[in-house]
Amino acid sequence: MVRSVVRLLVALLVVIPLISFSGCALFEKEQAVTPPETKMTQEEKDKAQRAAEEQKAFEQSLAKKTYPGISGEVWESTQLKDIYFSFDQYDLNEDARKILADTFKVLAAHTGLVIQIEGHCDERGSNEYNLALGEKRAASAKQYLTKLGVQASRLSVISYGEEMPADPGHNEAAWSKNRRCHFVILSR
Amino acid sequence: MRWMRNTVLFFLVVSGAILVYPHKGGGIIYIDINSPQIRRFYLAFPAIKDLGNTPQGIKEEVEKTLVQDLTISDLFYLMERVKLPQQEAYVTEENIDFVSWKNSGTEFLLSVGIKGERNAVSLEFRLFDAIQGVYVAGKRYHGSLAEIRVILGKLADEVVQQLTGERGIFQTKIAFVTDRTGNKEIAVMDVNSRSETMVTKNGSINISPDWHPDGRSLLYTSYQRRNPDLYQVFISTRNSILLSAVPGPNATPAWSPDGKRIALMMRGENNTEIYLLNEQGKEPVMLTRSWDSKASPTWSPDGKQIAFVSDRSGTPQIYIFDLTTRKLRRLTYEGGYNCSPAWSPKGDRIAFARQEEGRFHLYTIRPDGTDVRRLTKEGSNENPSWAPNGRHLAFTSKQGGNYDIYIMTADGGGPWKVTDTAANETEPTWSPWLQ
Repeated sequence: MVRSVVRLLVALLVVIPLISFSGCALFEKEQAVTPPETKMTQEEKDKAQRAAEEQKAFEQSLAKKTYPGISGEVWESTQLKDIYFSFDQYDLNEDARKILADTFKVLAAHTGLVIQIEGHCDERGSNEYNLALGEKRAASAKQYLTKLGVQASRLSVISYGEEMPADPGHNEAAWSKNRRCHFVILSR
Repeated sequence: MRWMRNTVLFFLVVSGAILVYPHKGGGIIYIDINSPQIRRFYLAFPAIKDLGNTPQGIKEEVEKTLVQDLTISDLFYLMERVKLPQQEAYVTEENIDFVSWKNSGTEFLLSVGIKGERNAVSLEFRLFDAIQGVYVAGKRYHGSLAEIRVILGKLADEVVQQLTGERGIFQTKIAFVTDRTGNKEIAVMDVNSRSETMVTKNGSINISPDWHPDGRSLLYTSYQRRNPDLYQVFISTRNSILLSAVPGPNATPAWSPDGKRIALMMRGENNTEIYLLNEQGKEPVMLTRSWDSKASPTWSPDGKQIAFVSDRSGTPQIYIFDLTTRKLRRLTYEGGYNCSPAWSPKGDRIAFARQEEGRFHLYTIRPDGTDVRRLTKEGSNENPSWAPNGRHLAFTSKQGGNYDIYIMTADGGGPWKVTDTAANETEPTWSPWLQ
């Protein structure tokens, strides 16, 4: 409704000067103006439809999540993928940067999202030092997303150290899954 | 004369500990625990004699605990019972045959008697020097059955005190983290693990316990509010209060020796820094400022220096910050991963864990960086914590599938396994003197 009123006003703004400057060209000009306008509407329709589909897909990607003994409820999205690190490292490898670029797209498309970046470590090394390492990993991811253009206020950081492994195993296969940043949605 | 003294003393004893005889050792220190190589003595500890009406099972419990405590004290070789002149005995100054004990190889003889009185129990010990043929010390204790563990701690400490001139460790406690409930909670146990209490029960992730120097409360970090916040829990009431909840870690706390400040790790700028808080957990002051990660502060006993872990060299290493000069120096150079520093209460050594071939081993080093010594041989060992005597250490060790708490002495005694559950017991922290 609003959109058609706006369109009408735009059309009038275009048409009125045409009338005043060259009255007899009215029909020609009208015809000349009309086709692109219809085309844009179609484009916008497509875009709107794509956005709606994306929004739907995003909604479907969400799952509510609570952590035992930790207050509050968060959402996880399959569109926000974990990034992984080497042992005792916090620098972002190429894979991690690619994933963060996708994360940026999600955040750009859904501007209401506020997310928390969780820094995690494998079980090797001291629990205490791993808390520092998890903080540094999450801070690396935050810095990168901020550089891509996400407002810092939309990104909070928490380190779980080695306290919340994704895989409880005690081998490299498990450890490589545990040295990660995980992304959860605090509000949307 | 002798029987009179004995009788008088018998009636004097009401409760608590009273010397049975004035000790003739006259303050002789038999064992100098500060010497680098302690000479361990041959101790005869014949089976305890039931002097009447001891409730069933108590004698065995007492004996088991005392054997464990005497072993962990690491001052003796406990002699095999079969080699003793009497395998079960109640030895007194009247009936002792010093020669037979001496001939069996005994250097010291510990004789314990027990007697039940309704719901109470009387326990007494006598310690003899078999070589010199003298009575060293003795005491009688009286208390309810529920107090038996307290009495045994006192008894074991008295024996150690008589021989070394220093306080024993059996009236102290060890706080630790356990995952037996499926999450991580803080618990407190006796040194020999026979009695323990959960001090948190919030279902969250609770880590890094640290004793207040008065021994009445613990600091710890908990994730209850979706941030690693700092809490204080009082042992007697198990009541926790929130001390510091600044966004980011309020973690790896260490109370200063005077109890007036808390060193801990908090958020820096894309890293973690060492901060100081006041005793209420407020007014954070940043001690360090650089790009690297920092964790695990530990105070020198004079409160003038703080050792902590930093990765500024590219790997985790231990550094010492001098609070007076504000200067930082590196302590460890060998090894690619050194962590968990613990400054000895005597000040002379710092214990830490070093990663070697995928495992961790405990080491000690002098605060000037010299005299590095490896302590552990087996398994993977982390989180050393000193007993207040500066000789014993508690630590966590993985020798099979899970982590348990062990005790050893810095001069190579042990290790002795203290906890033995299917769960993981980690981050032990030894209390100060509690009595």
